[in-house]
Amino acid sequence: VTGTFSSLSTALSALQYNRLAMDVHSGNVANVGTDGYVRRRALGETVGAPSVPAIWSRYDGAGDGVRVSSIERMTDPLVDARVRTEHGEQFLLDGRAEALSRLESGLGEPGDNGVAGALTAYWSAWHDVANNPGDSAARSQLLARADALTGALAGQARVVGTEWSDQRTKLDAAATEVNTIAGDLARLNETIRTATKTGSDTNTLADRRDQMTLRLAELVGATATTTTDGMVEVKLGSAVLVSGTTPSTAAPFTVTGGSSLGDRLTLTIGATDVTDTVVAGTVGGVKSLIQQDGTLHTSAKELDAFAASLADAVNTQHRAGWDLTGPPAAAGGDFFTSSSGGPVTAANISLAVTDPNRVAASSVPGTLDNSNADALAALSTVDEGYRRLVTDLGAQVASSRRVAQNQQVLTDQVDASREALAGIDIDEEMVQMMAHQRAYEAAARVLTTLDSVLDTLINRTGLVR
Amino acid sequence: MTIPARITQRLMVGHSLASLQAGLGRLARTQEQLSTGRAINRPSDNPIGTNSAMRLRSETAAQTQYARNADDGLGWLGRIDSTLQSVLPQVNRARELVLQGASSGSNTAASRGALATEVEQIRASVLASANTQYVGRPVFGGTTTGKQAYDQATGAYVGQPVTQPVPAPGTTVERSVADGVRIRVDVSGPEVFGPAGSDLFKVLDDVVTHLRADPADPAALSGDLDKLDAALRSIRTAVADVGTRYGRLERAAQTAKDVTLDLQASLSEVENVDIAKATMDLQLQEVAYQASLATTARVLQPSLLDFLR
Repeated sequence: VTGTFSSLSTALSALQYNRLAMDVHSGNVANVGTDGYVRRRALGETVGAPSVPAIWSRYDGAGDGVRVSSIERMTDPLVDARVRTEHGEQFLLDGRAEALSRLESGLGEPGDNGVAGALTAYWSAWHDVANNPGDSAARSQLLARADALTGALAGQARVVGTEWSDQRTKLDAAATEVNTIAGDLARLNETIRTATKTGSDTNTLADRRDQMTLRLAELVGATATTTTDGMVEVKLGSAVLVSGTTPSTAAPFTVTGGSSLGDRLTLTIGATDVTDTVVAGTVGGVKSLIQQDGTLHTSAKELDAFAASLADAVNTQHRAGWDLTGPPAAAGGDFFTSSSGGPVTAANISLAVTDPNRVAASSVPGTLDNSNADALAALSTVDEGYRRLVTDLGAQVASSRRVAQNQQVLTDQVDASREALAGIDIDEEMVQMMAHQRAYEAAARVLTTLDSVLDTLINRTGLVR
Repeated sequence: MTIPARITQRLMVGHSLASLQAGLGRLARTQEQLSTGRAINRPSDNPIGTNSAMRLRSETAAQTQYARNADDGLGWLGRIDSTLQSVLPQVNRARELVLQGASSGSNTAASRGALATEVEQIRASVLASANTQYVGRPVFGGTTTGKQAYDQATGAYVGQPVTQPVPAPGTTVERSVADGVRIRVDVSGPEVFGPAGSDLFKVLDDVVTHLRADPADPAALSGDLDKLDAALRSIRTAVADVGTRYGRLERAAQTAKDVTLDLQASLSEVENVDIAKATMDLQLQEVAYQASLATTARVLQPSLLDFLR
């Protein structure tokens, strides 16, 4: 037989449950714009008969009300993992597209002011020398334009170099951020474990934890798995970045090598080499750009090869001619040279000829013949190498942008499905609030009814009016 | 973009912002094309078009240069032509004088002396013509570095010798007027005025000597007459040759200029924006952008809160 006042506690449980549910929903409304906040829901549970019947006593109640079983965080680990994967890919592609676009605008092609324009002016100057082989003005103009050409080539080499050093700096900054977040995440794991053990609400901590793992995925494409007590383990391939409460200071993420363009880059976690494992995130993007034989290195090599082929072709023809000094006239030497010794590259190409009279325009010593200048002007076919370089880069930039845009569609979809689960719909929250409000009012009415029942029982029993 | 089953306000805001951004991005691209007037503003806009544009640009520059080379060559040949045209009547006059001197009759030593003086003047004048310069270079001197083709005092050829009948490479002045096409724009002195030792100036010298000879030597003078005729033929041949080459150069210059125009048209086709189309695109995109702004404004406003009392 249940007690007289049991219905009172049933009503009380309803009041408590509905108040708490309204708290949860108002919390949702308050956090409608908070980053990383996941919608919560108060799950109710009937307080009823014991689930394991006893032998000597039996439960004969009719229901003892309601209680909050848990405050659920509306999230799906699978969707979260997918979000992390796609974000990692997105950051890689965006970083690449952005860097390549910068590189491309540094080229200044197609236009009149890039290397192509300088080349055109340079070849045209050889024609002018061929038209007036004895005119020192034409010769000086040739040297000036050749100088402008070497300047333009060096300028492009600088554009590649600057982009490389920017990306290298970005990589160091990313590594620092990875280690900071990994340390924070290890401490957060500890907090979450303690809170779980003491039965405190860990939802807010879980929000922060998910934000951190997402950030790690965006940075290095790290994967995260939930282990015991709500803790996460973050890995890069098989190398562990954060495990339980172990901070990554024990085995930090470090970047070594890559001290100059074309130098090999090594990424490690502790002693484990993860260079080839990092294929996503900002770091993955930077790596694909600045790694040995990466995009920037290839661009630089192509530019150097073009400068070398230009210098080689011009020098060979120039050596076949005779200059205007003397008499006797001297045979032409190299026209282009490397300012730093060693092979000619885009960065160090410079003029070997500084005296206009040393330009070897003639193929017959001691005359104003122009056939060597003409032959030099006809070398303009080497421009094709440069055009190919620009077209290649253009195609790469266009493709990187297209791939990034395609990925964006995918990323948006995954984000949308996460938002569909975790996002807050104000209308829905309002409806839930109203429902709980009505339930609360009803529970209060139940109390009143019980009160009047008890009043009848206590104060009116035996009274005959 | 697929719309998930459960929609939240934030999702709507995100979607709206994304589509506004996309619309604005399209507007910005069309606006860039219209304001620069170019469809290709960077290689990635159209990699293949960029290659064509760069090739067309360098080709245009090359053709413009060829036209300039041809114009320069025309200057050389024009100067040579006008010089030879002025030399011809003088040599004809010398021939007449020789004829006069050779006719036996009333010719006295004194009158033949007068003829000789005139021939001397003609020789000096033709010699000066033979040293005609074009932008500082003697046009009959080949590739010489000197300022003269003939020594003013002795009349000896001091320019760059040109082997005959085929000139050795590098001894003639040539201009590139098309890819791989070089046209000779000079005529060396010996080719016009005869080989050294028996050139026009030597003949005229001989004429003067023979006219001054006393007694008269009609046989020698009639021999000179033959040589003068040969010199005249040589000059006329040179004039005809120069004329032919002038014509070739003119055609080459015209071709280069025509090709330049064609190339510029192609370049414009590849690189420049179709204004009418871009303007239409801009108009359409503007309408689309305004529509998405309007729907965003209407969609984001209502909420259940507006209807709860």
